[in-house]
Amino acid sequence: MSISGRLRLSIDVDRGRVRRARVENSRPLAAHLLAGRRVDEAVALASALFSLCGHAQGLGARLCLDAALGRAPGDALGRRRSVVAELAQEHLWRLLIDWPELLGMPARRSAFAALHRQLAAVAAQRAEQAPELAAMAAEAGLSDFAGGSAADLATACRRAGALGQLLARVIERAPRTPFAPALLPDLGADHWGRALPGGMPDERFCRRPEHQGAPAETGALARCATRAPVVALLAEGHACAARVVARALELSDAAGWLAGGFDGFRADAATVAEGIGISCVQTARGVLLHGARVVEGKVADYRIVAPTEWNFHPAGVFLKEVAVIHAASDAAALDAARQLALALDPCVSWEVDAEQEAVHA
Amino acid sequence: MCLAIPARIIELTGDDNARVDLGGVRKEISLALVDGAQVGDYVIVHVGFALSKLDAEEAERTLALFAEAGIDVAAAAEAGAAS
Repeated sequence: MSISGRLRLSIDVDRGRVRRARVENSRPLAAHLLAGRRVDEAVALASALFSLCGHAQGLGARLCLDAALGRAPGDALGRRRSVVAELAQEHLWRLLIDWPELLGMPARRSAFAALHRQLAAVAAQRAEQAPELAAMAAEAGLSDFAGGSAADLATACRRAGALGQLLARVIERAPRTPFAPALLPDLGADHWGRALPGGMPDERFCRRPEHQGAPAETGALARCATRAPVVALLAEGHACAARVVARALELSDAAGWLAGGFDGFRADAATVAEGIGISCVQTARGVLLHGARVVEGKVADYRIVAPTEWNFHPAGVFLKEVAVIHAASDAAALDAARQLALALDPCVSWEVDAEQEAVHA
Repeated sequence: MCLAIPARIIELTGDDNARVDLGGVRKEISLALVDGAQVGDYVIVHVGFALSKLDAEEAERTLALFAEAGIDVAAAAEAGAAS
């Protein structure tokens, strides 16, 4: 049994075309560890179990279990500051370390380390602000872009700063897709409480979450889909690059949330029935859903739906977009698949492999 | 959802790096993202970086929870959960 989960993405390529792709997702089973525990114990455990999203899991558990008990969220919403800091840390890791390394540019380790430390102080509630976050977000050059072509956007980014230069490179290099991605709307806990049978996710939904009977993409792209830079990229099939640009937009949003309130930041919960609660918390990778049934002060049933389950659904966005990769060589096709995986950013360790039979001498 | 497995710093190896012990598995990691980590401290590790420090009591409690839940910390570390 895998508690933390692991994702293996196998790609069968032939002369630069992807012939077949598979996702093996040993999804995390950690939610089961919360069953049988007292409510406060479960909240503490949810925060302690996960390395990358501990604050979001802690807030999700608090909101969900308070809703199950019919209690007002109280000071739980004060934890949003920590969750936003965690979201910004994840976006910075992708934008300053992982993407530069994948595209052969120098990783920005010292800038990343300085900002990560500032945000860690915010997450631990030792500081209110990360002083350099807004300046880093401004390096992207996205704020003045009111519309135009993808090439116009790349030019604006390239002129702005080092982060913008990375985004311009991503726009040039990332694989393009001849169809628009199906995006998950920003739906709150009330919606999920009404839409899910029994008011909380069942095992099937945890494995293969769907919206109106179909897979959908969650994450920064879905949240920023109407912003001018994203609209410009999607109009020309740059969905992969649009995901990276959307992360930079969210970085800017995070600076705004920390500076002046949390308008547009999703963290809510609903009481579905007596003893049943559900919560939605926005994270760097997309929506995090928690559902719980509480009986006599103890967790009888607990479910977590992580964003990775949406984006790496067996008929979801990764497999749809990887299937249309057509590159100059097999190596370039695998590289494009890695870019697509990084753009969607699984929350567990992952690797993209060529299937054995696809390796050509 | 990567597991947050507490790792104990057993040696500072210079240049903001350290050797840690994760349930018997030894790894070399960077301390660039945390302030003032010393030998004996516990840290949460992800892809070669210490992400945060936690006090010994908190770390022992988390490790005890993992043990109670039947999670083999060494196997999880080797499998990449905290690599």
